[in-house]
Amino acid sequence: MRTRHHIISILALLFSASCETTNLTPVGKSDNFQLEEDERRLWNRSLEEQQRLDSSTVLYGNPTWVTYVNQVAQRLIPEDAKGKGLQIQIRIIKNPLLNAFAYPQGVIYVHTGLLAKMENEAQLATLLGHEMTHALHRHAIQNVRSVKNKAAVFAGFQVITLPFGIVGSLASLLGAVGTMAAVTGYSRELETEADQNGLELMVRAGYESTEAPKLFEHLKRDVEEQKVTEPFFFGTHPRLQERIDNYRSLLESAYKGAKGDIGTDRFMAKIFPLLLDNAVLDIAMGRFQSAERGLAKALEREPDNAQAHYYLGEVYRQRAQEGDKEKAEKEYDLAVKYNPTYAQPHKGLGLLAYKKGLKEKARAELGTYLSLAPSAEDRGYIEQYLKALDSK
Amino acid sequence: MKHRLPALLFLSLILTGCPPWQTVQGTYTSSEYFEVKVPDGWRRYTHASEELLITYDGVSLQRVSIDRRAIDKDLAHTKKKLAKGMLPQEISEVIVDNIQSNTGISNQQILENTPATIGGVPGFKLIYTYQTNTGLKKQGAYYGFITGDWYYALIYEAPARYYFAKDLPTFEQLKGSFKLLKKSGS
Repeated sequence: MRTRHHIISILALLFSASCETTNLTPVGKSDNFQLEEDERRLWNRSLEEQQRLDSSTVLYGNPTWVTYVNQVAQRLIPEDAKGKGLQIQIRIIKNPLLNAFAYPQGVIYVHTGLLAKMENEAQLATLLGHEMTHALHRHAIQNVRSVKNKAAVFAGFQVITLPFGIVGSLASLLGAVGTMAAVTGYSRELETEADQNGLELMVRAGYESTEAPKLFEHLKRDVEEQKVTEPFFFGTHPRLQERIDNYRSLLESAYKGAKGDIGTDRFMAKIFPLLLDNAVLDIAMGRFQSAERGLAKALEREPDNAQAHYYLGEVYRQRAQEGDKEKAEKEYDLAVKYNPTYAQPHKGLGLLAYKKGLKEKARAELGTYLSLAPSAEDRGYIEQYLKALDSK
Repeated sequence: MKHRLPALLFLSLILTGCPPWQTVQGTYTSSEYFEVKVPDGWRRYTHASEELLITYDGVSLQRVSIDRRAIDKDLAHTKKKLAKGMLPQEISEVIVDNIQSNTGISNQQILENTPATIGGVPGFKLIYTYQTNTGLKKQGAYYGFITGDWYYALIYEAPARYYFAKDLPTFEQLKGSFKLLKKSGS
């Protein structure tokens, strides 16, 4: 019912906007920026969608990361756009799929899955610059108007037949505006403008321009290797190729030889907890290859991190392919080695032993787990296993 | 959609010759796989994809279902698979993910995940809540287990407010009466 209401609202917006221009002055480029009537309605609709997202359980609350990405965003905002009505803010969504999108009033949502694929601050700035441009250049209302000008009915059809696929609970939280930004993306012209202006923003903020295409090259390689079809804009092969081509072309012309800050250490020092948190999400969704890759990246930075080894053990235990049990056991052993008081890997070792029929080892490991985590949520299960071991 | 449903129900009645809803009582036996004592006065949907689907006030107010599926059959929402030899806790991990990955609902929360015995077979019990697309908060109780090559699920769902608590004891009684039969596939 709510979806239908959204569709009707968007269509009404489309029909009422038939005579509006699709060329709008970017925020900050004129002294008296004012919303046009249909744009105001779009903003109101966006605010409702945002409120729904923000009051849901999908936001990632790690304060270090939220502060960090917002600091990077602040570096990118052009001086002439400050205080002009846009509220550039970055929010992070707990979701391992590759996605980021901006609402017209400047709030940008980035998935943990996309952040986990980045290697440095310059790549983060690339993405934020691209998304920020959609808000600065008022792409949402331009897109709505241009679709109306070409085929309003088709626009309605597009809204109705969204490829939500495996998006999970996010699908029911995104409204029509969020879906336009996150799933279908904008027209090729507007996306190209976002690449171009986004690159300008990051270079002006002092970032290394050659990192811009690298982010999308990584994403494209990931999408190809994992042979996954993701429903979002940044998870689709053709859209990633467009970004790569655009950035390469821009680097060849306007920014040839420009050097700047890459910020690898700054970024990597902060990303570690996010890599682990995102790996947990990947594991929960059964995206074992992506989880394995994220954890390998984490372990490159901290090879003796017990938690990362434990999660990698979980990847192998839950994937349960040939040879995975041995790999899981090795990772759990490493986790125990680096932190003997860490309860979870003992449970992993206990479960593996239990299934192999190694009673003594199972009893010892599961017992250790319960003694280290006496109020574990799964205590009931563990006690059941121990009882079964005693009765065997 | 509201107008289509009665028409479809009427059409199915004409085509199949039997009413889609039948009042139940006593013991219900499903294809010789299991039997269960159903609460008197509830109605069974005879065209359900599940082995058994019953309600008293209508499925939007409470529904109890029993599902039986081959373990190698993909689950509706998750990429994870069920497998023979999984421990109850491992099965519950897959089912929790299936609930969390459901695209049609939001704000899924698992309130309880504990071991349970269903019809003498070790399994698990979940209590969870979620929000429907219309904003209604629903609560569910879910028992699951694997026997042989088959996965069984006994599920009760109702609006979290008032209805869930009202019919939970009825569902627990039904679950307590669940019995696997010889041809259960174990």
